[in-house]
Order: sequence, then structure tokens, then C-alpha cells
Amino acid sequence: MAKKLKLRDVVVLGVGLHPFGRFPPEKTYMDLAKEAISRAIEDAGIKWRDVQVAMYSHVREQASSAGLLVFQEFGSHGIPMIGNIENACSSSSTAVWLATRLIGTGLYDIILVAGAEKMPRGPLTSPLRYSPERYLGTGVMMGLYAFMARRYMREYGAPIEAIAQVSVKNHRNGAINPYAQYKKVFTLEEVLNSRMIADPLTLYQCCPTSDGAAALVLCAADVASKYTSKPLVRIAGSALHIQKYSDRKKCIPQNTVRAAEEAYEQAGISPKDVRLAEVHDAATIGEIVQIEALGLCPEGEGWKYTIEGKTEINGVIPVNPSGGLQAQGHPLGATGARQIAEITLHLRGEAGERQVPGNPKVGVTECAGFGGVSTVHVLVRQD
Amino acid sequence: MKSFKESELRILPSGDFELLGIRCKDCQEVVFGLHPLCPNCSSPEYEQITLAKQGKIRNYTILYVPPHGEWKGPVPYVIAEIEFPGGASTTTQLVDIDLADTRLEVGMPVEIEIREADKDEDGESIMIYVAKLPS
Repeated sequence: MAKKLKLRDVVVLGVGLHPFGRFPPEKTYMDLAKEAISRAIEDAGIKWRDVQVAMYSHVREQASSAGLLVFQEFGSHGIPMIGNIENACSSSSTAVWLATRLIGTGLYDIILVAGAEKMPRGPLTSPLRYSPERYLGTGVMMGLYAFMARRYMREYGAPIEAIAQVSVKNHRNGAINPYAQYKKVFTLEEVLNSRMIADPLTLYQCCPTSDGAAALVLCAADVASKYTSKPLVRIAGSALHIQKYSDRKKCIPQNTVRAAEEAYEQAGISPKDVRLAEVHDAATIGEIVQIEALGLCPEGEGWKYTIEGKTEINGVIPVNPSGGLQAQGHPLGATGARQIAEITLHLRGEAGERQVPGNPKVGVTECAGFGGVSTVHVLVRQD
Repeated sequence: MKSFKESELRILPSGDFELLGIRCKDCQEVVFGLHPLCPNCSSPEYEQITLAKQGKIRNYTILYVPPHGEWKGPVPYVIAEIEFPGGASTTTQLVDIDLADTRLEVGMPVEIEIREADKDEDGESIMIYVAKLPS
């Protein structure tokens, strides 16, 4: 267990995205990352030379030091730079978890976190290239999500129509997000009748493979006003937990339950204070179990919240107003930073057509990953 | 014949096989496969055991997409979480199923068999374990 230290407040000073999607081979991961970083630097009101540590996250890029090549395009001014912080789908949220502690302890004032990916097409599978799993076909991500869906449906009596409704909602949200990979609206029938991938998950219930980049400038709260006049969004809670062996006894992901408890305690809030969330909907069922794990609805009722419209942009607890991984896309290394950027925009009132109404002040992100990782961040606008 | 994953499957000189596991002396958990420490409580105090070759389906799904470009198996195919007496579990493929004629259900009994996955450079068979509904 970490020691309970009084840490300095850390804010999100700037956010930058490259739209998610599919781009031609000549548009490299470096091009995507450079654009996201340039936008984050501009949004933060800083100069590149103000950055004191730069961290990069990717999962699938073959090149070693992929991130260092990107950073050196901006110039190396003698600061520590890390070419890859990898923790599966939770990579850039893991970098944020580290960065908040490096700033919080007072070692640094400004840290840049960037994540980018150009993903190959096809199913995401276990990282082992030569393994029984490869011959058995067991290490397939959507197969594991199908297990989760079947178990959830058995334990809580949820119909597949309720789970598939996550896709309908998130594609509707993605359609009004200029950064989303998919801007197409689907009916429930279209989602259910799309090609079966891993029974009961159909194609439109599985996130796509994507290209994209996201960047964040994180800053000590006490110096932030030097750079920006925008509303400051504080990282009030930041926690990373790993699945335990005994967690398999529960359907709801206990790594997220523990991470949420820790992050809410740091922030001094309860789940009732949360006004919007971005969660890891790699498959539709992911969103339902994660909102339950975050305490945003009672256990076993995520599916009811979904069909009752409570997780819509205008609902009581809007979930994935960006379109989530389902519609915005999922370039693995970029997703964690992208979720934090999305919440920041909503808390600033800058999210455009998809803006969550009611001037929300508190949002939460949850990013899960293969291997049992879950990161939770609580974001609070400072007024 | 040799095992693809010796921490889970032991091929005997007779051609028969054993599924390996551990029983922790501290937390009493029975875990599939051999591990450096008990994955449940990190205790080094455990005994190696062999598991039953019969279990039951705890969860399953039917996959309709080949998992990768070099896939030689059937499509669609079934993967299942198999639970053994004592609580250990593993995930493997459920083979030789006529999907048009079989209604899969949680709790169904299965038997474990071994199959050749590959051959090594000397032509020796590399074996994996699979699950099958009893005939």
C-alpha cells in the first residue's frame, strides 16, 4: 500500500487530440502524435521548452523508443523523456498516474503525457506469439468479453438487447464528436443483426481497431495560472489496481472497485457527486460492468440504467459522451489520455454539440487493460 | 510426444497425460497449472497435484472469426472455461462439436483429451489439451 502523503494539487493544463480513425500508411504514428502534442501545448499556453518530463505510451508499434523519436521532433532540451510506458489498454492512463505523483511530490511542475497508435486490423489476441493459446484460439479479447457478457446475463438476468443498447447510445454520441472514428448511428436491430463475432457480441458491440493520438499537459496547480486563463480541471483522484486471483469469484471487476474507492477517497467525494464518466467499453458489456464497479449505479442494474436512458448525454449519469471506444475508436496507447481529455473538455464547457448539460463539475475516467489492470481518475473543476 | 506447456500438461512415457495443479497449504486454494508461488496468496508452501481429466463447463462462447491469419482450426469454434473438482479452472477449446445439433449449457460435463498442435524441428508432436463433450 502506498503511503498517505499530502501531495500538491495537479491540474490538466492542456489537452490535444488527433482524430481517431483509419489513416493511410504514409500518415505515421509520428504524424498523429505530433499533431496531438502540438495541440496540447497550444491549449495549455506553454512552450515546448516549459515541459519538464515527457512520457509516451504505445502498445502495438514495433519500433523501440517510438516515443523518443516523436519528442525529438520538438527538440531535446535536457529533460527526462520516456519512450514507452506500456500497460495494455491502460498505458497512457498509467503514465498519467505516474505523472500526477511526480508533480504531486514536488519534483516537477509540468509533465507532458502522449499516447498514439497505428493498429493492425483483425482481432486483438494474447501477446504470446508461440503458445497453446494461439493454437486453441482462446486468447481472443472479444472471447473474454463474451464470457463476461454471458456471465453477467446469467447472474443479473440482463437481456442482450439491454447490453447492445450501449452501442446504440455510444454510436449516437460518436456521430456528433468530430474526433470519433465512427459517425454513423445504428438502430438496436442493426446492432443485434450485425455479424456475430463472439456469441452474444455482434460486430457493432465490439470496438474497432484504430489509429489516433492524444496528449495531455499536466501541471502543478499553484503555477497553472501563469499559463492559462481557462477553467482549471484538477486530477483529484488517481488510482491503479490489478485484478487479484480471488476476483474471478465476482462478475463485477474488483480491480475497478478498489481503484474507484481509492480515487474517490483522495478526491473527498462519493460516486453520487460524479456527473459524467468515460469508461472502457471495448465491448458493450464493458461499459455496464464498469459503471457498476465505479458505483455510478447499483450492482446488477447497469443494464437497466442503460435501457432507461440514464446514461445518455441528457441522462442522470451520462456515460461515454465521446462515443467511447465503441464509436470514438480505440488506439490502445492513446485511449487513457483521450478519456481524460474528454472529461476535461466537458468540465470546461468546451465539448461542443456533445457537451453534457448542467455545467458539470466532477467527472471520472476508467480504463481497463489486458492482464487485469484498471486505472481510475477523478477530475474536478476548480472554481 | 511432448507438452506445449509443461507447467500445465505432463506427457507420460506411456503416451498418457496428466493435468498439473497446486494445492496451497496456506490458503487451501487449488489452482490450475504450476506457479512459482500460490497465485492466490503468494505462499511458497504448496503441493503439486494432478487434476481430474473430467470437469464441467463454467462459461463458454462461440467465436465466428479466425483469431489470426495462420489459424488452421474450425470457424466457428467454441472456447470454454472448464472447472475441475476442487475449484481449479482453465480455458481451452471445446472440440468436435456439431454446433447445429448441440445445445451448449453451463454445467455440462466435459472430458479432457490431448491433441497435436504442432511438430518440433525433429518431427516430434507438441501436444495441447482440449475439452470434449462425453460421447
